[in-house]
Amino acid sequence: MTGLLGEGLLLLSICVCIYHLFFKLHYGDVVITLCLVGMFGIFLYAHVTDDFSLVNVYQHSHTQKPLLYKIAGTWGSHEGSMLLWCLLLSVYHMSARLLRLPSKFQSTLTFLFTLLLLSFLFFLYMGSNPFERLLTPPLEGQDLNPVLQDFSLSIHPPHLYLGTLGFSMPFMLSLTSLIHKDIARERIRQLHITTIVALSFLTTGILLGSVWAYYELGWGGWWFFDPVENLALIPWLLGVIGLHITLITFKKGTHIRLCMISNMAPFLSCLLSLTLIRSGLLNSVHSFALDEKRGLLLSILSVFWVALSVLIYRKYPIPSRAVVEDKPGDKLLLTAMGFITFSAIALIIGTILPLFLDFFKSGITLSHRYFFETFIPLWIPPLVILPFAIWRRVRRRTMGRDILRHTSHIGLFLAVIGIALSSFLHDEDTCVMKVGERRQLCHYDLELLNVRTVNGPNYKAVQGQFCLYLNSGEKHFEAEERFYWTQESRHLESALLNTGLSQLIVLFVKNPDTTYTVKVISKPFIMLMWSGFVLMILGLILSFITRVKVLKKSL
Amino acid sequence: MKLKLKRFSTLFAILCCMGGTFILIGLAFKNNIRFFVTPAQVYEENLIHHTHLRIGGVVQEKSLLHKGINHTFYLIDGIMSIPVKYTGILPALFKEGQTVVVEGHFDPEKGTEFMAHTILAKHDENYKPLLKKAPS
Repeated sequence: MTGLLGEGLLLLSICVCIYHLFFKLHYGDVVITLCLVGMFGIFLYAHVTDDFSLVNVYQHSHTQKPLLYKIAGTWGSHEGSMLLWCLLLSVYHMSARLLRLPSKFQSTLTFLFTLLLLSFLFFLYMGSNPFERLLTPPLEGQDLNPVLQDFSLSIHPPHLYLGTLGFSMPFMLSLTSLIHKDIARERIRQLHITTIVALSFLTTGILLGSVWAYYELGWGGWWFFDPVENLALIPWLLGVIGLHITLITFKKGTHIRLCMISNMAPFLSCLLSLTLIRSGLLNSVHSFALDEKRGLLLSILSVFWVALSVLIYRKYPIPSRAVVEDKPGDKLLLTAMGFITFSAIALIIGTILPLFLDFFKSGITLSHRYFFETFIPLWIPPLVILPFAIWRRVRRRTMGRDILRHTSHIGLFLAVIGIALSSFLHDEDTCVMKVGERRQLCHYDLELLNVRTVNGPNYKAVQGQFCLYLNSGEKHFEAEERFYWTQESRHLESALLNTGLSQLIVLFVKNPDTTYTVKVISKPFIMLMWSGFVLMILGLILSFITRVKVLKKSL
Repeated sequence: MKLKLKRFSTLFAILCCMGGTFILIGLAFKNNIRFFVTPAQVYEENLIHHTHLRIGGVVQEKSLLHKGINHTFYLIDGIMSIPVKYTGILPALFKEGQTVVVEGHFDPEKGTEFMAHTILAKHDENYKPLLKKAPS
């Protein structure tokens, strides 16, 4: 019954979208959003009440799964995540009302947005229906992978989608601006603000994924240049470029064509990333199962929107103006953006070319060292230019305010320093210990006090209780080796310790005999990196607040 | 005239940077290609002396032995088997009968045992073992 209701709402949403496209329903965007909220609500209800008549709930849930992860499980699977995707896209569409656009502009925007929503709703219905039903509902589900049952991972996808879909706003705004030849300063400012919003969410989403990988999966590693990670980073880079170029256009009125292109690029790259990831073509830790139908449908969707964007760009050209000589400050910024573009190209080649080559000679993979040899060197010029460019501008009496304005950039530098230090000073030690033994690992004094068994909601664990002896005192902590009985899988729950600006990760494994294997990973000064990333996000939020205030003042 | 020169030099600088970038990318790409093979391919194509090998296969049942933090097992693909040695903590999803990928090289002296520096055991959203079939 629930599934039928959900699917009915999905078909209703599609019909409302089609009607809205041609006949402009008043408050059509609100109606569609409400339908999607209803659909999501039904889907969530099915997950929370263990309704195994829905295939999705059966495949990804279990009666003994904790409530938080039943809720997070709604977006943990492909179908559920696409449902959330459609919902968030619709919410962004509604948020366009806040921009108070002129009515003709708004109706073109609505048309394009509804068309985009419709593409995704078609995809949802034909390729990833969350309301697919089983005739005879089983009594128990197959459970979500326990490795994914983690708090930071549960909020990671929604942030990613809010970020990725956030780029639909500058995308749509620039397309509509081209069509209506409206390149007023107000539009550029709106492009700037919507890009900031999208970038804030995307940075947070990527950061959450890194944090999760750091203590749960990577054992101290927080970035692997995994194809899926790269495909999230490419829109981020394009978003950063778009942000800065839009800023130049806003302040100087130049580079309008570049501004339009750099505002369309992030969203289009998001579509391409989505296609590559969900089609299952990539070999990665984030793998989705290979699904040709999904891949084909998404490819058609992406190609359609890329083609439409190119067509609109060519059909409604911006009239060229007299060439204005770039100021040196702008030149520096454009050079930096140029190198960031190159770094994005290096990422794209490193992610897509191996895929391409794999068709010809199967078994070709690219070692992640490639990215260290290309991405990092290409970022050196921008990082050198940045302090120089800032120093040129901070020459007024407004030192305090300037520091605040450059919070994100300061965060970036902090992060780079943290990354450099923690990578060069990284250390690892593995040893075999018995209960009561005290050893030196990575120059840290560690004692295994006790071992006991722990019974969790859907797992059973062997837990090691440790004591870390520091100059400042003692730290007691636990690390576990867990066995999830529902999936018959083993999982290591590491301990993460803060020691000043550094962090320690401790892994604990029970050996077949009476000993235990303990591994300590030391990451000196990595807190600089994490704080740097957080500062980058705070800087973006601060930037948003100040610009919205300015907008409110002018109204 | 001066403007033309400036424009030309800007374009030239851009082209140089682009050229440099693509050379950088091309070289890095070429140097970091790794071939993902099966145990049978290792012996068929005589890859024992390769410095970087990635081999995918299944952990043979009842072949896993532990000596403290040293682990040995046999990696099989139904045709050939390779003895693998790994020092450290095995990844969480590692168990007998599981599909894994090992990275490393054969021991330089005898070339009989594979010393793995990395072991990857992964599975996707819907677990489906990925077993490459060696050419028959």
